[in-house]
Amino acid sequence: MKYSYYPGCSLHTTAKEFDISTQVVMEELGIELEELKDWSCCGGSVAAGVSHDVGMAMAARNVALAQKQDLDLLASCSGCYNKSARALKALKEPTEKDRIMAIMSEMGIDVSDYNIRIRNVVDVLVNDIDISSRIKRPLTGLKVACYYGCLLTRPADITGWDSPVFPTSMDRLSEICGAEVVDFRSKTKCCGGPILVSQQDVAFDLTKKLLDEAKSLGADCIVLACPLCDTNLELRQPDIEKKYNVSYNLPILYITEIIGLALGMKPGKLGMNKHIVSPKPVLAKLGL
Amino acid sequence: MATKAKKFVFGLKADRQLDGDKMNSDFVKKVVAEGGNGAAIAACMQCGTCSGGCTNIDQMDMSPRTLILMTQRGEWEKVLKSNALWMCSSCYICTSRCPRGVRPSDVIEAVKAIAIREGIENNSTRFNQIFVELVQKRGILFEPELMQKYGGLQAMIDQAELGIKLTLKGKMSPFPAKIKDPKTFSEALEKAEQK
Repeated sequence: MKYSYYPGCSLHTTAKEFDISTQVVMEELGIELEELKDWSCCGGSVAAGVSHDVGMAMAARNVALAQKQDLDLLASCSGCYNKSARALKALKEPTEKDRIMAIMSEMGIDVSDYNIRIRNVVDVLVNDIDISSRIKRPLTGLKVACYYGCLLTRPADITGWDSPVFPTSMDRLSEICGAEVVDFRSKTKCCGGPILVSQQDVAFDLTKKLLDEAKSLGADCIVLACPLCDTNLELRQPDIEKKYNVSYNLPILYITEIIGLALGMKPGKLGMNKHIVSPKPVLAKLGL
Repeated sequence: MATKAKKFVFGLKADRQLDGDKMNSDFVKKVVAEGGNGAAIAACMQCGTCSGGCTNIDQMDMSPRTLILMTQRGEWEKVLKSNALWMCSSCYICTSRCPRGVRPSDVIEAVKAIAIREGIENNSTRFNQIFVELVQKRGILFEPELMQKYGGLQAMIDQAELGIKLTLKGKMSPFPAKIKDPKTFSEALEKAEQK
């Protein structure tokens, strides 16, 4: 299996551990990744709210590049994945197709056929590969709260591989890894990612509710698959602690990191030394 | 001549959507033209499922359900001035749950774009515009630049601690990344935006 790998803006910067762990875990599982050549930003949740056509063209450009490489596009970031999948769907709709292709042709990109698929790393890990036979070091005793957020599985017509309102893919992966999964009721509530900068207080409030619930369930960490969720839950965790005068110290880990650990990889190899909220309590619990 | 009171099924009030003469399809058409057919506004039956699931409804002055109703009725001023547009984090809960195939998040997204073009200004519109402008510039976002343009010096100072931590972890480059031909990319998007 080979994919064009679309890291997006975050995986080369604030979510480097997601980039590193995705690459080493995929390699270990025999999946080849070839970075999408000359990729650009997908426009996130913001661009289409300024101009629909501009937002769609930004995301469609990467789909076109993947088509040129003739490889299915694999994205780790939920936002990049979602927007790319949405663009692919639009490129197949007659009413939208011409509008988007006209802009791309101005960019000097001409592709007529779009027969590739857009995949998310969680989708591939849970649906294409059986990792259960590869577990070398079960994560026995580790309590995890799996957080899906919004764009990973919603809306169903562009994702479709897990429930949009009650997803279980990461819960299943965590269980296969030997971890205990807590019943995280807020797992698909929004963290407020796209409004973090412009409506900071509101976003902090939404994120705090997630941290509160995970903590009250006794989770050792939150497991997720989106760099923007991580920005809120991990990078802004100290700010939220300060604002509400609380203390969480709750490690936030990417699903690929815990899978990597269960596959027997060293934390350093997975990039786990790059976290802002230290994952040491998690590693200590696993005797690492 | 005294007008006879209209009869309404299931006790629906006069100003609800079954009272067809209050509808204004011009506004619906405008939103669909911006956001595409996904915004199936006419199908809304006002069940309120979208509002029931909304993550952020307690911060909104107008629920997603009301916003759809106001769009149907052509209450454009109310829709454009509503803070619901900017409190929506595009999480698609409403869209996933709608039993009628209406896509409130797509409607809101389209209305946001129209609102910006009609001159509505606030922190969110400013942020969104700067974000798009910076992506257009190099094809890849450079976050420190986004913070500086949006929040000025104060934002840089507020974010300095996190910025230093990220830099020490090798998670923030002092230099922006860019695509091979940002000029053509930028010009194509600029042209599309002006259409």
